[in-house]
Amino acid sequence: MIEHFYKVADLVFVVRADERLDLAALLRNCEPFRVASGEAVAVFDLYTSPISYPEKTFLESDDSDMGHSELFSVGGGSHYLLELSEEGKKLGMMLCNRAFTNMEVRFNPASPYAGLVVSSMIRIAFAQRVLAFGGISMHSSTILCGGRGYMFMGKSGTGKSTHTRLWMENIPGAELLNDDNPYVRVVDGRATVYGSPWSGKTPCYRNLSAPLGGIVRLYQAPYNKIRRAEDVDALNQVLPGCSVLRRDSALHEMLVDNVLAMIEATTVAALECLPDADAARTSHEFLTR
Amino acid sequence: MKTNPNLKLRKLGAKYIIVQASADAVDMSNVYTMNASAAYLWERAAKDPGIDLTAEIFAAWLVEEYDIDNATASADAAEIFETWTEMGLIQ
Repeated sequence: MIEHFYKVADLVFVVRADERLDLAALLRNCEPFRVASGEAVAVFDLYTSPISYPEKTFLESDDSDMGHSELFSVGGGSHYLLELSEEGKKLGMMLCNRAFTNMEVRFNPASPYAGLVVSSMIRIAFAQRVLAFGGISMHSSTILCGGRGYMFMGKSGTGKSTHTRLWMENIPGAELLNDDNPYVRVVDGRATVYGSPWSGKTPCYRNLSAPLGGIVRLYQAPYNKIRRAEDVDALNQVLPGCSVLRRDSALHEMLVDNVLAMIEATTVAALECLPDADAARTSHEFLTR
Repeated sequence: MKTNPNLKLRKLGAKYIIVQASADAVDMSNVYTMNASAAYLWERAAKDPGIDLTAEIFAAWLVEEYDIDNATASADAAEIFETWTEMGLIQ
């Protein structure tokens, strides 16, 4: 058996598999996050054979670019079962305990999507696990600039990646930390944003972090105008972009606590904007004021 | 009717809020804001889950706690009761 340790958002998880599996190749996106060892908060055991659970209760399903996912409750509610498929074909499955400390991941190593499937399932479970540590898995495109991290949020297709590209083209020192899924942790009232092995379609897996300088939700408009958001407004700007299994009230409560702590620790704004250089200068000027 | 035991009342700025995972959309949460008197009703109701809540009970509590007349209390209580029932905050 081989064990690989990875550290994301200052939290270690371990992936264990048969030594014949080329784990480094399978989880290429995770390589920049490898650590020699560590006290793992989550354990992922990989298997290459499926198992069927006759007693499973359907909870919900979702369709994303990862395919079709179905979530079940098994073991009388002691575990969650996630099944990923594409056009009726099973891609993988993952059994998790309620605390998301121990996961069994099953996949087909011969599939060209094997790495993507395993990585996606690890991502889903880890996003739940970090909640207990003041962590939040966020959907945003994130810039590093002047020693701070700035997250840009918005519905898919609103132009987050365009906006961060405009930062890189127009704001000296601006770099991309992650294009889709950074992590934030709030510890002792201080918020830090971290890169992760998950960055959507842009392979930007940077093992870096910075104090969170601000969060901006983008809205398409025929002009550039930014305004600060506070309290309930700030919560409403940020909450939709946070990952959690919402039907699990324990997890949902931890998410809300963490989000409230995060907005307390940083600046939140709403930017109505065009996809132009002035939009980037507008948000940059506001955030670094 | 009782308050949903999974929901927690929080204070944010000048408002009280309850954040509830949406029953319809898989990835959404609903943020309900309430003023201080509605928050008072919520906390009092949550403290005693044995009570079967009605608009009348809410009205009585409002009259007890705040210096308002029965008509105003009844109107406010009815509105709160109806909204909370509709939103699934009380079940």
